[in-house]
Parts: sequence; C-alpha cells; structure tokens
Amino acid sequence: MGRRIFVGLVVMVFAVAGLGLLAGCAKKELRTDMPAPEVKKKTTGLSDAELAEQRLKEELARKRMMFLNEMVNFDFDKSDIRPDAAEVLKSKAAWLQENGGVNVIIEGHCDERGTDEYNLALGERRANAAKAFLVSLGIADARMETISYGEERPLDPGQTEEAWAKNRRAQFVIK
Amino acid sequence: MKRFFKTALFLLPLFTGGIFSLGMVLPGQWALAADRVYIDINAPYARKFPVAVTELKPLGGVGELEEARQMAQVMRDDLDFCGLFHPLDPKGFLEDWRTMGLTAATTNFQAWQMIRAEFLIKGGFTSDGQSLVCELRLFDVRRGQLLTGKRYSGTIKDYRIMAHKFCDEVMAQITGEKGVFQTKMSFVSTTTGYKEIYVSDFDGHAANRVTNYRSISLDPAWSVDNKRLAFTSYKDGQPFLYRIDPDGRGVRRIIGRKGLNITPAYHPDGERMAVTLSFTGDQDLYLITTGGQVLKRLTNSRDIDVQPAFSPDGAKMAFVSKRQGTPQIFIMDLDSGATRRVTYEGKYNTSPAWSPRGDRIAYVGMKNNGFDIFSIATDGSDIQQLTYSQRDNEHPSWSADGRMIAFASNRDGGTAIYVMTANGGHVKRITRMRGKQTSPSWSGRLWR
Repeated sequence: MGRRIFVGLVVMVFAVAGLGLLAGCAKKELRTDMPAPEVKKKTTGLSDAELAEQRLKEELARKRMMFLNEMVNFDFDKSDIRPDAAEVLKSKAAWLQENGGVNVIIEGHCDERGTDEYNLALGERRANAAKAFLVSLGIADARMETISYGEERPLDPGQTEEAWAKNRRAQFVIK
Repeated sequence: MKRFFKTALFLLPLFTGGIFSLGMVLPGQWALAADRVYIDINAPYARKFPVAVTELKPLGGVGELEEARQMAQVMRDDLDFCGLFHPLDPKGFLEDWRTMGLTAATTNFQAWQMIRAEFLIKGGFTSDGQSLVCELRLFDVRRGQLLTGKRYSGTIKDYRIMAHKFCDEVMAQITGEKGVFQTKMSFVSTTTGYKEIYVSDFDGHAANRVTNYRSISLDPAWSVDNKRLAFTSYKDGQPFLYRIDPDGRGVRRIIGRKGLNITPAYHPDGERMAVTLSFTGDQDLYLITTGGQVLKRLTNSRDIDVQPAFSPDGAKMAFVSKRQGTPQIFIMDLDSGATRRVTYEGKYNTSPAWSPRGDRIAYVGMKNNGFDIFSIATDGSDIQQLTYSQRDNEHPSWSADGRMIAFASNRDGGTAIYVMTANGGHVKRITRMRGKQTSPSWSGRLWR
C-alpha cells in the first residue's frame, strides 16, 4: 500500500511538473511584447549586462576620440584662449578627471603664415596656454607635457583662411 | 710682354683651397688697378657693366675640353649672379677665341669696343687629361689695359672653383672688394619627405644633404669660421640644438633643455652664441658657449623673444620680441642691456638679419596679408621694401659682402631659395629641387 502511494505521488509530481511546464510555455507564447532572452542570445551572443558594457565601452571610446580629435583653436598670432576654445578645454578637463590614470602631451601648432622660428615660440605659448587653463580647472600639472611643432605639422595643407584656422591649434595626444 | 710672363712664372705659388694660383700682375699695374674703383657698390641703382668672357683657348697643342668650355660659362653666370655685370652673348664676339692672343698687346680692343664690352675676360688652358692648368686675364677694354691675371692649377674637376676664384679677383679689381663666389648656402629641404639640412654652393649648385634623421631639422646657421652648422632638430623627440660639419660628420648636441632650444646665432667672436630657450616656460634669449653652457640670460620679457642676430662688431644684437603686443624688431646693447625698438610699421616684423656692413637690418614684414623682405637702417629710419608681395618671402640672409640677400619664396608655386641684390633687384632662383626649400643661411667666405 505504502509503495502504491509512493508511485502515485511520483506520477503526480511529474504530472504537475509537466503541467507547469505546459503552462509556462503557454504563458510565454502569450506575452509577445517581451522579447525572449533565450532566442535573442542565439542571434547576438550578448546578454543585457554585456550589452550595457558594450554601450559603455563605445561611449568611452567615443569620448576618447572626441578628446583626441577636438582641437583647441586660436586666432592668428595669438595664444590666448577664446570662449569657444574654453568650452573645448572644459570638456577635456572633464575627460581627464574621468580618466585619472591618463597622462597627455599637448602639442602647440601654427598656420603656415609667418616665420617658422617665431611660430615655434608661438606654438609653445598655445600649448602652455591650454595647459594652464586645464591646471586652473584642477588637472594636475604633472599629467600634462607640452611640445611645440610650430607650422611643421598642419592638419590641412590648404592655403585658405579655413585651412589656416584649422591649423592654429592645441592638439591632445595620450601618452 | 714676354718678359711679363717670365716674371709671373717665377712668382711663388699661393696655396688656396686646394688649387695653386699664381699672381700675374706687375706691381705697377697693381697700383694702377687699386687707384681706380670702377663701380661704387653703394650706389643703389648702378647700371650693369657689359663684360665679354671668351671661351678658354687650348694652349700648347692640347685638344678642346668640355670643362674648359663650361668654365667660361661659370664665369658668365657668376658675373651675372652678382647683379653688377651684363655678360655679353659670345655669338656676337668679333675676335675668334681659337686664334686670339691672350695679352693686351695681341688683343684687338677695337673689336671689343665695337660690341660695347667694357671689360674683357680671356683665358687659355693646358691639360693632360687629368690636370687642368689655366691662365685667366681681365682687361679694361676702353683703356686697352690688363687689370689682373691669374694662373690656376688643379685637376679637371676643380674647374668650377677656378672660375669662382677668378671672378672673386675680378670683383676685387673692379669694386675694391672680393666677391662671394667662394661661399656656401645652407638651407632646409623636404626633398626626401622630411625636413633635412642641405649645403650647396652659393649659386645652388652641387646641393648635398647634410642630415638624414627622417625627423624635422630646421634653421641652419653657419659658425664664424664656416666649418660648422648649428641647427634645431626633433631627432631625439624634442626641439634640441645640434651642430654638424657641412659634410654630415661630427654631429653633437649643443643644448637640450626642456622646451625650445632654437634659433642659433653665432657671436662674431666665434666662442659664444645666442639662442632661444624656454625652460622657464617663457621664450627668452640666452648667451651660451658654443659648447652649450648657459652664460647669461639676455631677455626677460613675459612674451616671445626669439631670433637673435648679432651686429658685425658683436656689440649689439637684433631680435624679435612680442613684448609690446605684436612681433617687432628690437636692438639690444650687449654690455648695458639697453634695448630699443627698431620697427614701428606693420603688425608683424620678424627674422632680423644684420648686414655684414653693419648699417642695415633685413627682415620679414607682413603687408597686405603677404610676407615681404624689407630692410631698415639700424636707427629705425629709411625702410626699403625689397620684395613686392609675390606671395610669401621669408628668412633673409646676407652675402658676406653685404651686396646680396638670399631668401625663401613661394612666388613660383613651390617654395625655393632665391637671391637678390641688397636693394631688391636682380632676383634669381637658385634651387630647383624636389620638395620645398626654406631657411637659407649664407656662409662667409670660405677662403680668404
């Protein structure tokens, strides 16, 4: 008798489990608004957490590229920080604060007009001005080196005011 | 006249730069030539003197020689180069160089007067296929007189040097001062894709690359003895100052402080130089030894001080300073430190170069958005514009006699080295190489 009851219980357990399974399947089929994680995993290989991480990585890379590619521009024969350049430098300061372990080289550049040697001095003043601005925003002096390339490394080889404006810049390089 | 030659042959040979030369002028004629200076080189718009340079006549039965033919052309080019002479076309010559005599007595001066030559250069040569011995003579056509004669002996490949040497003699006879035909030009060229230092003859001939660092090498400056070049290079990552022999040997770092180590200018005493350093964070001029030891800080303004240029007597230094808001030329007395501003016209005046005669400073000024070469008296008076906005003209460098100025210009599209007379006349392009040529530095006379 005791044995029969045991067998019956086992059958019931399986039956309940089976029903539950059926119910679960039915429930899932009904909820079409929710993406099925199992299915999604098969097509992209990423979980939600991994996706979030990927998005974060892409965001960091984008910020890093922006840090490297966004130039601090200057007027002809000037090394003072323009209002638009100050905004660029503020975003650079934010990035440097988020990336405390990164040290940078600030390159000072000039357009091709004027004297090569004078432009080496002017380029250095531009790099120094950008650095001083960042120091004033709380970035440690020791994290930033400067070098002047004068008019030796233009971004745009053109001989137009547009090209010259692009070339008068402080450019950031990660060490 | 025969006796004259015998006298000449007995004179002791003078060793000058690998070539033997024999003076051929009798003392009496020396005196005569020295009494008369034909061209006042200080006159701003002197007319050009017509000069006839014949082919060199083979002597003693030797055959014709291509180098001898080229030698005559080198002399014509030299005399044309300096802007004082108008070399006449040999096609119009009435005396046949194959049969002409080489002495005053055997020269048909009327034939040269008819083509309006005022000076005449004749010569002859012998050669055994390796050696070259030539005699060159300068005549005053109107007076029918020999002014000077020289005999040079060397190898055939020395023919250009022989021509340059004689043209220096011609200049000495006619202007009272030797020419600059035995000088070198150093400059920067991007021929290889990198800025490297080059050295050529004064006329751009025989350009050789001195550096090969595949980096950025800049702004060569000749030492006082013309045996070295100082320059800035990024070859070790930062703009440090180096020196090198013109043949590319013996490179050594002079100074490599933090920041800029640029714009070398040798002091006329040969022991010291002025440079721009920025290790304090500010670009200032310093006096250092040629070995790189800092002797003295010369400027202390809070803006750019750069590009020193010493007066020929070494007592003063011209330089560029932005201390009053725009780059301008200033002069400092080295002993007292007293400094005065020289340029007041325009908002951008840089690259001062002090004339070897001491009276003027050439510089670059911005005018109508182009860059031109100007010169100014050292007291700030008498500004002369030497180039006229044919795009950008930069980096003036004087010839040793103060008669000419080399500069870089992009007037023909590419950037090349040009020379002109000190008043802006007779502009000639001297480099025709791949890439851009900039920052000319003209040496002093290599042989005195």
